[in-house]
Amino acid sequence: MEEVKQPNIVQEAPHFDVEKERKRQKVGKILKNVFVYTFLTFCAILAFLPFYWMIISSLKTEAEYRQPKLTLFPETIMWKNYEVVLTQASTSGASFAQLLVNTLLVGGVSTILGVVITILTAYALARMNFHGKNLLFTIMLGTMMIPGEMYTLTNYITATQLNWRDTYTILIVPFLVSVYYTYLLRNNFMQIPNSLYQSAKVDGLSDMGYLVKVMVPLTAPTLISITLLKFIGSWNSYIWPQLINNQRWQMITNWVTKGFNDNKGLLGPASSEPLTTLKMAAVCMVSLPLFILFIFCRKYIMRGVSKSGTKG
Amino acid sequence: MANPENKNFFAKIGEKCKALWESFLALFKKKEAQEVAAETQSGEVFVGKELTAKEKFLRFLKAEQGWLFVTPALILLAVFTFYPIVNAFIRAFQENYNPLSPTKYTGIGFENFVRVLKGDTGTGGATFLQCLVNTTIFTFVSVPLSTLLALLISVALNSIKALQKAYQTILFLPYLTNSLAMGAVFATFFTIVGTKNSTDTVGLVNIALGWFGIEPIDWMKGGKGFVWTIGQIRIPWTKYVVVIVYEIWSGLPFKILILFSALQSVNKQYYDAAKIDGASKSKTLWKITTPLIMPMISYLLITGIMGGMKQYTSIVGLFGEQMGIDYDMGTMVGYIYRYISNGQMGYAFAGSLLLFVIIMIFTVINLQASKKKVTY
Amino acid sequence: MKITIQNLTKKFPARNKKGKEVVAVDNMSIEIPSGKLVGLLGPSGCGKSTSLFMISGLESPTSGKIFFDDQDVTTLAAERRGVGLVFQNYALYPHMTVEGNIMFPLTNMRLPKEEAKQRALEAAQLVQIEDLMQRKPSELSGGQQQRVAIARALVKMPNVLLLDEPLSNLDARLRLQTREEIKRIQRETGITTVFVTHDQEEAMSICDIMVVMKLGVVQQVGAPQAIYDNPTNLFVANFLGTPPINIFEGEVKSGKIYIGDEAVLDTEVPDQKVYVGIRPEGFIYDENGAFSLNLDHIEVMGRDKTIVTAHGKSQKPTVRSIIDSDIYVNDQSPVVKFNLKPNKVFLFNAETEERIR
Repeated sequence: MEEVKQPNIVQEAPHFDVEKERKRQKVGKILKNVFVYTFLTFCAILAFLPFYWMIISSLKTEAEYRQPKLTLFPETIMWKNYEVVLTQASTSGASFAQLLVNTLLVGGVSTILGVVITILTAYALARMNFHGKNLLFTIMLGTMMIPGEMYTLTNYITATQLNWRDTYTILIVPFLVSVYYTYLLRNNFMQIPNSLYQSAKVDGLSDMGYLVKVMVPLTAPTLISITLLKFIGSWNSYIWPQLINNQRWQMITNWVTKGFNDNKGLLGPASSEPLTTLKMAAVCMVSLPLFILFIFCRKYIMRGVSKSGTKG
Repeated sequence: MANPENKNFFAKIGEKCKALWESFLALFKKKEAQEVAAETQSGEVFVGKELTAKEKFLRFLKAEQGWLFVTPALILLAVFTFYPIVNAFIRAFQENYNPLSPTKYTGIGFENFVRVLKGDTGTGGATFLQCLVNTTIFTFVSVPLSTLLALLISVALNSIKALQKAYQTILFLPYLTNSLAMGAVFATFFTIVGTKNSTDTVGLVNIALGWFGIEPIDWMKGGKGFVWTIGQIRIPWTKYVVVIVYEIWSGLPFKILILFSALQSVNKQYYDAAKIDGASKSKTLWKITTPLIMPMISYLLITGIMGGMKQYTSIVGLFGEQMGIDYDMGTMVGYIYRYISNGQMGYAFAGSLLLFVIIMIFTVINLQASKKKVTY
Repeated sequence: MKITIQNLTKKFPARNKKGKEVVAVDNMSIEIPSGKLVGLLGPSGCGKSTSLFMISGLESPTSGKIFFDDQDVTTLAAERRGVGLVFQNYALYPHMTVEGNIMFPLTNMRLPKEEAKQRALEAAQLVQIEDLMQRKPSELSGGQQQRVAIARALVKMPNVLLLDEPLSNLDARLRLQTREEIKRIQRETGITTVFVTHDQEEAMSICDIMVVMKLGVVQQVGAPQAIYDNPTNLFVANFLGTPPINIFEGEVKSGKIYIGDEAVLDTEVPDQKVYVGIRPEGFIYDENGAFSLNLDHIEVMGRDKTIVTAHGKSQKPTVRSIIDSDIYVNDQSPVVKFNLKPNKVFLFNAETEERIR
């Protein structure tokens, strides 16, 4: 403690020029801002580049796309690319329209049913008492540690044995229950104070009534996020339909795995060489609906993703 | 802030598993006690009078009506999740399993695993080991890199005021993409289009590299001179670069979103304290900020690695359904699907069990490593 | 080190477009002598914490200057000022051990590790936490965290030690103990120390110099007792002292102070309307006293007793007077009478609330 008492250990007052310091700080701040904004702009450009590239490429002529000189905007805008792509069937015959109908139907039904089941299950796990509840919840959480591929295999066999292959049913039913969203919603339900439940009971509301009239409205933001993410998930599904169904029953993303050519000669001399511009047009048609959805529901999607913390 | 439950999530599962055994015991031991408890919970006052059978039944229904709510989910889970998991563990050990044949299988043992690991499955293309090496390298290069990059971007994003929302939105855009579609777009960046005699375009990446005087590389083909060979394992590194670049790009938005919201929830006072303590900007970043959001970083690393080990569609998007030339870019999941399509289910089951074990190993290692760093 | 503050002003921009900008600190000028313990005192929102953060360099002033000795440090960044700051919530780095926390400022000064360890230990000894060095902050009690925060602020031998509401997060017992501790540490180190508090008792008990603030404006600067005995205005008189001063509407008429109809004290002040402030200890119980109050009840405290009364002209619902516990008070009579000690009676202008006498 002796050393501490000695006043000479105390630091000397810093000596410097006030004006110089002010200038130095100003310059430092500007430099920092320039650096940070440059870095972020660079990253933002890289994040956006593939989208821009996809759009402009889809509108170029194949000749322009292939010329050695880069063009950042199409010289002639080829809406015709889209027309040509739309006239072509996928590898084994399903049209774009057919795939779109499949996707919307499967996506819509599985999202609605899935959300309903999620709500029911989450509510029971959050608010109701029944024997074996904890056991059930634990087993459900446990399955999340196991890669989905392990059950895909058996589901494939089950589907075959049930004669469900090449149907919408097999695209919808196995994915209706999402353990993760159930877990998320259950936690959300648990945050609603118990006193609300008790007062609703006093007011003579049944469990079902309480769920529909109180819980659902209160957790609406989470439910919207879950709905959107579920729909996006089914829009993007590829592996399972590809494995289980023939071409007639594929989802929209199957479209882009195909090589598109101009064998009817709509864009120039007929040829069976795959054309990049056509493929980009197909990619655009599959990607842009998600973009539009994002523009309108940005808040819910971003919140949902950061809350649920799941990828895809 | 991103849900704080996330960081504890895996720990929670661990706890739950422990609780499982206890509740299992409790279910038998304390059954009577629980029934009494259930009666009290049902909200009716028990006045000691004898209940008729009907009343008893009604009371039972009321106490157990939760089952009614979970029945749809339970049936679906039982058929499409619980049963398949059990089934996978059984089938993987059955030799020459074929669901359509009357005998179903010819023997029980480790034959499937041995053949899968030896690459002796009677079909050509990438072996399981090749797929394992591919997947592991893709994952362990791209996940740390994109996490680090996401951290830097989030810190930059957190330090600005003007246009913050706009940048955040643009940087989030790649999240919403379809990995097949964007894979196709990335493929065009690296593809040289042309015939043998004349090249039409060398692709965006080669054009950009050309500005620095670098000769065009045929990234997507990875011909001679661009392949490293280690025993049976071939590493066509140019193709690896393509995959890794794409994985980083598509992995960033999610990581930025999580880390940015983690940063926003850090108490500003720590930065003030660091300033008073005379810490430089970079020291504050590495010694204060990073440790403070370590739970989120480790969460991202764990989920990133788990997801990376299961990647499949992005490779299909980049290299087509054959996953390169004869599955040379195959991943473990790709391997499994290939053998489903082949009808050689035994290998697929064995492969999926191996995948499960590998993911479990990585997860456990990760959890152990992060436990030390994360706790405070 | 001497701290001089000249015309310091801090304005915060309005929250929304319609709102007004907020003046947190308004034209503050004070001088803090070297080696003293100074308390910034005022109700919440009076700008005392903002002033502290401006001294630390974490907030930059809108206008005005700050000097450390003769050096203008107004524009100097916090990390170069050589100040130690103890945050209200301590802001201990949760991922570092106690030792790591205390050593952190030293590692930033590029001190060799051995020396840093040694000095961290010395600082820890000063606040008596040397046994806790390997713990994490989450394993410490509030009082221990407070000590770690003080050690971390002291370890680099700062020019100035700043404490933001150092006692507000502690329970009552620890508060008493810690405030003596702060006084002791300040004496031992001789570091110029500024601390912020809203608790007048806390400030009075340990400060060498007290700065009373209200709505960003400094009201009075001086030694605690001097301010208590000589408040410059009604606000300061009211803010200091427990129980607080009693305030009455009154009037000065031809050399006498009237509260209601009673002339309670002589004065030389010219005739005018006034507020009369009487400290609780300014009452002398006297059955023939000049000032009569309606008795409510009597609180016996042991050492002294409080006579709680009411008066029509009082600004507060009750009037509290403290007298010696030996004095017998007739608690049956509805009215109690007092004489007043002249030095415990203050007069304030009824409009400006400035002190007249």
